[in-house]
Amino acid sequence: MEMMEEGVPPVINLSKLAEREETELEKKVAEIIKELGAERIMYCMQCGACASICPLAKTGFEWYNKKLIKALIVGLRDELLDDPTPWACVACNRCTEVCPRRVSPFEVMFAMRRLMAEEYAIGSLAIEGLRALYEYGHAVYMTGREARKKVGLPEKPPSTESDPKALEDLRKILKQTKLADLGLIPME
Amino acid sequence: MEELRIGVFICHCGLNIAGSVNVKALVESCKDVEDVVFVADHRYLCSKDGQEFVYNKVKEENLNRVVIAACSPKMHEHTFKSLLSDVLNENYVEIANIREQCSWVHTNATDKAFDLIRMAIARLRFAKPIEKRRFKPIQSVLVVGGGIAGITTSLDLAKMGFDVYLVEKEPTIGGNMAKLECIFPTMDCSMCVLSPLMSEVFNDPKIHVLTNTEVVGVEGHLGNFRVRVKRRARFVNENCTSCGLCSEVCPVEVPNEFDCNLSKRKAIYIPFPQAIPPYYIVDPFSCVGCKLCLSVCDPNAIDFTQKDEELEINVGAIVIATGFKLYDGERIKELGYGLKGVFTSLEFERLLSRLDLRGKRIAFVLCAGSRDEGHKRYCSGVCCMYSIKQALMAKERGAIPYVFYIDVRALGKNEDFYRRALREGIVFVRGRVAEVREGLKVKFENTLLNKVDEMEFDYVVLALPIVPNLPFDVPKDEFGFGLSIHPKLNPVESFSRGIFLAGCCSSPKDIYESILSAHTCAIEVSKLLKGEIELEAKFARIKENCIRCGICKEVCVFNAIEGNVKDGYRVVEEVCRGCGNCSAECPVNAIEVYPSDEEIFARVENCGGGVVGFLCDWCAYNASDVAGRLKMSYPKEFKAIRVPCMARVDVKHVLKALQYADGVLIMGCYVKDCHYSSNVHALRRIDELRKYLKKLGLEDRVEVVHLSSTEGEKFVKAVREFVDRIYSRRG
Repeated sequence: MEMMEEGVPPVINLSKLAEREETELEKKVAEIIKELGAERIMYCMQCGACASICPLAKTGFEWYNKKLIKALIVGLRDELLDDPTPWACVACNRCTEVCPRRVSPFEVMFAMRRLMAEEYAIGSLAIEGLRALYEYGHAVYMTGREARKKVGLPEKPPSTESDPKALEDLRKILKQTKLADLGLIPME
Repeated sequence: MEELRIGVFICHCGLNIAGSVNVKALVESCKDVEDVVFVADHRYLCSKDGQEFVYNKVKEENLNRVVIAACSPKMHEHTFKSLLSDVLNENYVEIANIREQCSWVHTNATDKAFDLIRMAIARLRFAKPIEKRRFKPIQSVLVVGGGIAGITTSLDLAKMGFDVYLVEKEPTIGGNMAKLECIFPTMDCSMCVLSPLMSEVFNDPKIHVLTNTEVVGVEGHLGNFRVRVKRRARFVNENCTSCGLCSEVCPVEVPNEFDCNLSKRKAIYIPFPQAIPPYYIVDPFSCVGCKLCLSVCDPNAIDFTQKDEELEINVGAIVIATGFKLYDGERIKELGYGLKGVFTSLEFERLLSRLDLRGKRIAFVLCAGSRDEGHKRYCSGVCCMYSIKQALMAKERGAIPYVFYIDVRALGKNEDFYRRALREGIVFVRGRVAEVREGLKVKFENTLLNKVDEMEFDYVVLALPIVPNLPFDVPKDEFGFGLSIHPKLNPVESFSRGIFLAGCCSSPKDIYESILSAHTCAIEVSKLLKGEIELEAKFARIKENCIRCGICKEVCVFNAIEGNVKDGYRVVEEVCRGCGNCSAECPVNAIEVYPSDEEIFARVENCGGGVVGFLCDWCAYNASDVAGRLKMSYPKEFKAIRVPCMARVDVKHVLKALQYADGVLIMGCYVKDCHYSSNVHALRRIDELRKYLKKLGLEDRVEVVHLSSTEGEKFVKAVREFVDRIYSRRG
């Protein structure tokens, strides 16, 4: 029997509605999302609290948190892969604060990013960020060296940029991550 | 010791038993058992003829112990015990369940039937008479809390003839209901329905109203509680005619608590005109002692010499009706409580008729903390309805109300009320509000349209969770609500015997449900106090070899053990329910309960091998009967021993059983359902035992199964799997 922790029964499994062909290899997308970190996605009752304060929803992104959760529960997947919304999430975490069921919509957003990355459905801008992270230790490449010099600061900030050892360590770590398996960026 | 003369009566139950048990052979076998002096069989022992037969034979043969081998004790234990009550103590009659647990579930069941009878005989050898204790309870009741629940139950009890002490912390009775403008779904004026009841309470000679009074201590037990209450001085006596002159001259003004601090009152005041008792009161904390009031009081009702007093009240039962309060709005920061124009629903109720609502936009925010993992997980149950009510009232006064909801929970007939609100044009928006900002900007998503929006309102009303107001030492649930023995079947009796829960102190309730629970309390109390209380004699006794370790006191859920290291420990017989938890926990076997250790050992020793099952009387034993009734067969090796609770099963019983049998199944209720809440202790003990058994390689010989009393199928499955595993059978 599918009982969840704390004795809360699962929300009616709407994935039946989508009636996807399910093979051994292909799990229900909500299950994958759960494994990718959004464990409580099925607790969502679509109350809309997260949506009401979500900057994405306000700025007109199609699949903001509440809608994304619904879509995933219903079993949509391929339809969502090309959508830019998860990459636009600013990780403000307001949704996590207000969610009455502790779903952590933010985690759903990020689980969706992970899913998209696995499917290589990842924007070129994001790849650029990852490449920069590997190369320089900064996802956003540092500019303004001149300005730093002008105010009397060392040209390079006291981060990976001025510490080759730290950069080496960071690269080691990155090589241990999923990023290396996916081969999204060249890693020497 | 008297000579044992045991009689065994075996029932054919038509072919129900005789169909798979050779009764004639069984009779012959029984005759050879030691101490058995008489054996007989009968086609239907429970018939009139059969009962007469048993009764006459017991007298003729001078039997002093009787085994009835027939159907489940749940069917006819009472029949035979009361039949023989004038010749035999009830503990000298034992039922051997050879129908549900034998003939119905096995074929060729004669051997097992004989084992079951031998187990019954063995127990009788060690049975001690049970003495029933009766006492006359005190015919008065303490009702704590003078809200609608307390008022209702007081009036009921007074009409039934009991003396009632109605204790109220505030200066007036009436409670939260007195603060309401009107009540749903009838939209009656709340005070118009309540105040006649309040005067009735005040005028009833059987009800002693003690306002401005708090309970400070409870001692004693069911039938005889000694309650200490502290009555704060009122400084105004019964001569008061409520003319109000004192209040007019009083120079002090402070916020009025009755009005949620939204209006002002004087230092000498009456909370509201209909207050009961209808006397003014001096608030000693704000009074400046000018005594202007003394000079204008014509009937000389003001008396500054009054002192706080402590009284002791002697009652037979206690009804707790302390009601609810609202959750602290400050704790839900994002909803803007504290901003101008943001009110709790109770504050808004008080303000409704005072504010000019014409053209004002009002947002009613539902589930503002209820159904929220971060605040209160439960549904407060009444917010939907009262918010609709307030929205309707606001609409009548010209306002434009919006109701923000997740689900409208208008249960039962209340649906009509919801429809009325829809008809009258109140806007319902499905979407939980997550943020209210300055200027009363309310952010929401209309989830039915997938439309995120923000609107400005003049007032925001938060439907905060209802939280219990229970300053009373009774067992509570995780939210602080009083815990009733069974949420459905015994909703008002608390775990402390003789203490009952009325109204919102046990769960969120609307007025209707509060009144129902109050009536129920009155009935339960009168059931208990009318006539004599017969204590079930199955309470624990502490024997002389007690080493005063005090463990029993710690593990007792019912606080039935009192005492200390110095004076020794004692079981409060009126409170003890006989679960046996303390006995199992006692390190030196100094606590005797029913069934005694000797009785359990005797059964185990005579089980004739196989697997012994300890079945909780509340669930597993019934489940085995259900399995019997459904004729679901399971291995014959399984032999049941009935215990009052899983917690009665001691480590030593299990070890003893392992000497005589090949496995031990312990079957009891689900942890949450345990009728004594002692299950957890049993589980802990068995876990400990397993560690030792593991060293002996025997840990798989002991298993715990949780089931409910209807789960015959689960019972059979568990027994089958266990027995098959023990004997390494496949199938």
